[in-house]
Amino acid sequence: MSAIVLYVTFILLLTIGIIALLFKRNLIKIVLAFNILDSGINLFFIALGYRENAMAPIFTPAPLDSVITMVLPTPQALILTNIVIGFATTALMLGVSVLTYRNNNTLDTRKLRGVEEYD
Amino acid sequence: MRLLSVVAIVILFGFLFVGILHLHPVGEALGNSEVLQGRPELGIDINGVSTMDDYFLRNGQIETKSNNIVASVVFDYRGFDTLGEATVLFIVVSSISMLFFTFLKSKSIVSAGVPPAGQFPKIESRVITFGSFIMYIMILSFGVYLVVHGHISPGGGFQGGSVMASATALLLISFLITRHMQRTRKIFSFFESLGLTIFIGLGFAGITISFLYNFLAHTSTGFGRIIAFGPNQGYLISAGILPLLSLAVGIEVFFGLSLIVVTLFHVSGVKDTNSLR
Amino acid sequence: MMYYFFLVISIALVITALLSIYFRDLLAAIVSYSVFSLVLTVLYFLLDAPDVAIAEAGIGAALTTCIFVIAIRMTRRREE
Repeated sequence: MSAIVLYVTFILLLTIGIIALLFKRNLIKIVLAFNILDSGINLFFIALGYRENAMAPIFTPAPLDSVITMVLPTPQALILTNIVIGFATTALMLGVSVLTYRNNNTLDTRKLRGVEEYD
Repeated sequence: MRLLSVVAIVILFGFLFVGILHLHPVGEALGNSEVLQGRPELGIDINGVSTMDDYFLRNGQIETKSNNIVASVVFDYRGFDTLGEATVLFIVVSSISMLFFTFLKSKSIVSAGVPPAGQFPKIESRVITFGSFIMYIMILSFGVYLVVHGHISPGGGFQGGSVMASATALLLISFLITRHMQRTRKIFSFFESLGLTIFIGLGFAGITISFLYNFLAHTSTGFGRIIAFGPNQGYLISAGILPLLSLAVGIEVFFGLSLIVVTLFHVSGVKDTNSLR
Repeated sequence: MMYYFFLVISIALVITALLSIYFRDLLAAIVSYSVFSLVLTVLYFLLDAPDVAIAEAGIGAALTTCIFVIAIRMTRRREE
């Protein structure tokens, strides 16, 4: 059980994010839930590449042994760019939310113009 | 309807939980984990390599002359991917400016934080202003250090750029750049475009072999200095075009993220008049 | 030994994520998300990923909070 604790955390964060995306009505709260989901997926990738008793994939502070074990570098490189892109998409979603508020005078998704006719 | 979505979430949870039981446990990633096993002096070591990551760990330092393997994966092995990410950032910044086009051209600026042109802001505290300026210089120095030393220690363009951009928020708190908002946005957008242009230009510089080819790493002088294989202290001028690409990405990320924050802050001070309503 | 750290940090992560969904006050929710990002930074450092930790500290704890606060200033603070 102790070996899969980070995977269970990933599943819990993903479930929290999806439930909030489905059941929350406030647009800013939906963006926040999307961020939590994003962080959970980042954590899953980093946990996949972790090796126990290893060191970061950087040779500068490494000990002068003949055998060194390091964690996997590719998931870290992928997640590194994903964090910056996640911030940019968050800013875009917030901009659209603000424009929606200025046009409808509400952030509730069920009170937007054109929604109540289909409900 | 609500019951149906609860059932769907439970099914998703079950699938994920069954899925992680089939993964390898945390801490035991696949592959042959002994990095300096064969100690090839100046060659390519593919003996016993079972995964892509082990190839990067064994040969990344020889092929790209960079001590930080993450930086060599980001800027060399997957450089085209990084170009795509930088383009996504550029497009997002452009689309935010396009979303608030009518707000940014508006002259009616209310006093909610942004003072009218030629006037001092309402909150004028010398402690906040001077302290923010000192902290701004220190955070900016740390960010420049992270960008420049990206190939020998933890850091690089993305990290240093984001650290520097968080200093811009400090300037907005202390009202240091709110008086010259339009000029600030013009300067920021110019430098953001400049960063992406440098990146693409460096990619085309090695076009005789391939796009984004690390042409400086094989010259054995200057940026292609031969470093000792294995653990060493590293040199600032080494690793081919990696520091230059890191600098270009650092410029682009810093000014792009700062432009996002400055644009949203500017819009928050504009009174809503001639919008889409 | 390392897994006890992971367990404690995972519990903190789940609690802060639940709090940031639970609060009706959006400013409190965003401060909870900032704490979530800081705890996640510590976890990245323990997982031997210093590059990702630096990026998450700069982006998640500082800049995301900043733009959320600006967005709340343009809209409403309470979630109705």
